[in-house]
Amino acid sequence: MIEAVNISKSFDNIKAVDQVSIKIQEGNVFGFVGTNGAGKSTLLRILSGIIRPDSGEARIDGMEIFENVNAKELFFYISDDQYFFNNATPKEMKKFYGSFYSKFDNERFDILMEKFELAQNRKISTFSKGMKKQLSVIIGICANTKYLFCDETFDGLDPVIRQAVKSIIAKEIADRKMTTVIASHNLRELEDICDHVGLLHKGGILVSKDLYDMKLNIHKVQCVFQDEDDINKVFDKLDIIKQEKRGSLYTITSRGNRDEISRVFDGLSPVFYEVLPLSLEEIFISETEVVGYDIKKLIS
Amino acid sequence: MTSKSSFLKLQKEDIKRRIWSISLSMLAFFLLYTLVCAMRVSNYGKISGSNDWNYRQLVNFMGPNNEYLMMITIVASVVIGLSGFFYLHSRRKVDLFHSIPVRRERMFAAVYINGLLIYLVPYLINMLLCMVILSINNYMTVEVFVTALFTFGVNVIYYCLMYTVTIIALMLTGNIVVSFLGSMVFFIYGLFVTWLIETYFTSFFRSYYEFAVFDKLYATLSPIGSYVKTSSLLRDGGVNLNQLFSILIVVALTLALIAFAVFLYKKRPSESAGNAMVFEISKPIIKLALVIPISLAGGIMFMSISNNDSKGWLIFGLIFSLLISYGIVETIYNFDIRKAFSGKYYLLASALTVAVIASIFQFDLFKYDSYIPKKKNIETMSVVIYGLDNQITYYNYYGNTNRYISPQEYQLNNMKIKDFDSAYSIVEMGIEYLDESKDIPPWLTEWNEKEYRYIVRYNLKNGKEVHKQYVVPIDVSYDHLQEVFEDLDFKKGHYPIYNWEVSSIQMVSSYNDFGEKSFSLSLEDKSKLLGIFKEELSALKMEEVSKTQPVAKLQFQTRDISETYYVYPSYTRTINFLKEHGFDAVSVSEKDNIEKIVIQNPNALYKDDKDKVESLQIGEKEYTSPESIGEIYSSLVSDEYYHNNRILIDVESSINVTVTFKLDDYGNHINKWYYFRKGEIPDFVKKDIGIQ
Repeated sequence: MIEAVNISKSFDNIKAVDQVSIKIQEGNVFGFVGTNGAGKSTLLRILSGIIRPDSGEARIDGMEIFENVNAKELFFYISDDQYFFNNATPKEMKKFYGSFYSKFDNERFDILMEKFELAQNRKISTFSKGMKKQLSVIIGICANTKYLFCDETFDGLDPVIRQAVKSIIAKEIADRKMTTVIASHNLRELEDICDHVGLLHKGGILVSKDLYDMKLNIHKVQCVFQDEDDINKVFDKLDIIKQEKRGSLYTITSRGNRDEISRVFDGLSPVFYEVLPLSLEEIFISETEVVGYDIKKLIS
Repeated sequence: MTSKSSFLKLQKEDIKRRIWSISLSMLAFFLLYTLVCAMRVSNYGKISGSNDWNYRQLVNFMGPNNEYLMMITIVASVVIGLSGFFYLHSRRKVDLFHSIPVRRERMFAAVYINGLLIYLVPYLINMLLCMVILSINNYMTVEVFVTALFTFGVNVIYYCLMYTVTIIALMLTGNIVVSFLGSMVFFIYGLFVTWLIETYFTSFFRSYYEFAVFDKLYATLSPIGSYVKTSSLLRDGGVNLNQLFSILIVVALTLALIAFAVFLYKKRPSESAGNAMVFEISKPIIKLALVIPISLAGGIMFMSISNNDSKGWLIFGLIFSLLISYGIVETIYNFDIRKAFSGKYYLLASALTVAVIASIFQFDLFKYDSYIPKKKNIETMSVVIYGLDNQITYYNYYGNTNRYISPQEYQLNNMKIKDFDSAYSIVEMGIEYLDESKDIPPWLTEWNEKEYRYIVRYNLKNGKEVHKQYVVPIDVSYDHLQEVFEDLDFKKGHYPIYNWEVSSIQMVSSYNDFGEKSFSLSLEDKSKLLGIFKEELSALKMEEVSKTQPVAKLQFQTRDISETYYVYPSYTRTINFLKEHGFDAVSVSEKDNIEKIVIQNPNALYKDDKDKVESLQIGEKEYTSPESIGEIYSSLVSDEYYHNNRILIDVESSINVTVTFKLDDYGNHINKWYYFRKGEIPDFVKKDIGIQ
């Protein structure tokens, strides 16, 4: 388990991370989302032991991370702009990382490189940005660590490769319960892969929730009632977060599972109603509006 | 990553990325060491023995103070130091290196040791190549081997020192340009501060004498200074305990600096990559350490340029340099010119410090010029009197060779006057005379016949040494000067012959204008002559130097140097010894062999009665009669003798006297130049050459 307790970090009087506390369970895919400068990369660099927090503690499997080789052997960090040595080839980088990660899977590396059609003996400096991203993910996967930290890893990948990378990560999670922490400014990118999402803004965590729970417990209902009194009964019986009316069509966002919500509507005989799942973005918009933020301005 | 093999892997991965610096190091050593060695060997040809000049040159080439090796060592320490840890300046690289499971100490050790190997291995390979070349050409001896190996050790030690200093500069900064500047500051700061202090002392204090006072300072504050000094001392003096001790100190210091570099590496925040300065705490220290001396240097430079030591330009220079240097440092710190004058309290503190230091020098607030140690605190004194016995050259015995050193250095180091009342009194006169002598630049040794420069070293009872120099008028100090001159302690430090071993004297000869003789003396004879000569030299009075003319010169010669001393008429036992061994210094006198004397008065004033015009012309007169020659010659002093003892001899310097001697019956003759002693021009000569 990765645990951060009241972590703060400032750069020249600017608070990059402010009193952040999170717990990331094993086997989870945890997504940090937020705008540029929200503190995602800083938090990830703290969790990778690159930066020492000004205050608070970052632990991995109960071990302090900073300057702890045992802790660092448990994860691989893919930065948003991974560095490859000048004139190095993927093969050389494989050797380099293989020297430091005892479980580095050379065979898997070769297979994945072939799958992604990346030449092992070509100089990395001639690779496109997307190809470098693919290579960094392949190295990260093949490092065979318990945890994988990815900073804006999907940024710059074409949709096909993005899906391929996601499926590889998903396979690793399924096969060896790898825990993945992904930082991204794009909620939609994380929606189909993350179990848990933390929304960062100005260094602090606004919301941190389990995605499955969130999706099960919040729904959007589009409905039309003949009698206006019925809609008021809906408002009374459901935990409404948000409601909109366009003509006679109501769009309601409400807490509660699908059955509970359907039961309320069935009892009131509306002209029409439909219970719809919310996208991750919609859930966050709703949740953060509740706590007073205009989320539309915060996420892309 | 805890095993030994994993450390080797780390080193291997690091070295893979530093192929270019290995190639550069190899190439530099090959071109400037192996190739130069081969070229020299091919130029020198065969040698005749261990004292052969060519052989000695090669031993020197393989030894300390080889400029090529020193240059490689200095440049390599900076280039390899910066390139090894350069990754700390890039966020991308830091993310990679600091996220992998390696402890920072281990990472530091791998990169540090590789940096050492990049210098050390090419050096060793090329040293072996040099030895092969020397062996093939029969130059290889145990001495060459030991010298090369010892030099290797010294260079590696100083490489480590400078390499570590470069790394520390890099650890303190987050940008390659600033790191390079930081290294340069660390390298030359000591030299700069030493220069600055000496310049201020020389410019403001008239009694300041520059005598290696700050040598220790620059060698301590500057790794390059220490390297150059130690190397030249090792070359000159060979290995002795002092040198070994100072090398041990360098080793200890390097180890301490390595520990400090590791500490900085561990403390260095990864996020500082790209910043000018890494540690907030070091910012003001470095800022003040740069701005204050640069401002003071600016002040003194403007004052010097103004040509008349203008205090207005000094103040302008101080303020101008303060603002410029402060602005540059702040701009570098912030990478923003708009913040050039941020941190006004530091600017104010710098300005105040500069003002205080400048005032101390300008107003001599600590009374430096008038300071004189109390007599009770003085153990002995050493003095140097300019314009006395200029014919003597001074040497110091280094290893197996003698090297020239300045008369000041020799005398100050070798003279210990215990009865120093007179020497002390001359200092007091010098202090009284400070204002009158303010326009005489400190580097000028001779300017007129009325004053002389007087350097003094107080060897204090607490072990300290104080050096001062003064300008003293001859007339008021003559009696004290006489007492100093006649003190045996003075003579022992003034005349190197007192320190010579009889066994080192290989040849003795004596000569004057009418003859010369090289003596074949046994060791016993040499010892006897040296004994007699030293006794008579000890009894020599200043009055005799002043009023008489030596009858001959006596030359003592060792394997590589020679010293010449005057033989005065009072040296009767020396003269007799020389006569017994075939050289008669007194029977054949110059006076008896004079053919003619020509006297010129370039300033003679002639009147043209017709036109009532006065004009300057040369008044010249030639004398050939024995009576005239006899009278004139007794008033003359040779120009060579006068210039060697000018403070004791007063002459009519405006009158030129040329004496023509006949050497033999075949018409060979020689011209010598003389002056009349002051006030001793015969009346008939005055009349003849137009002296009023």
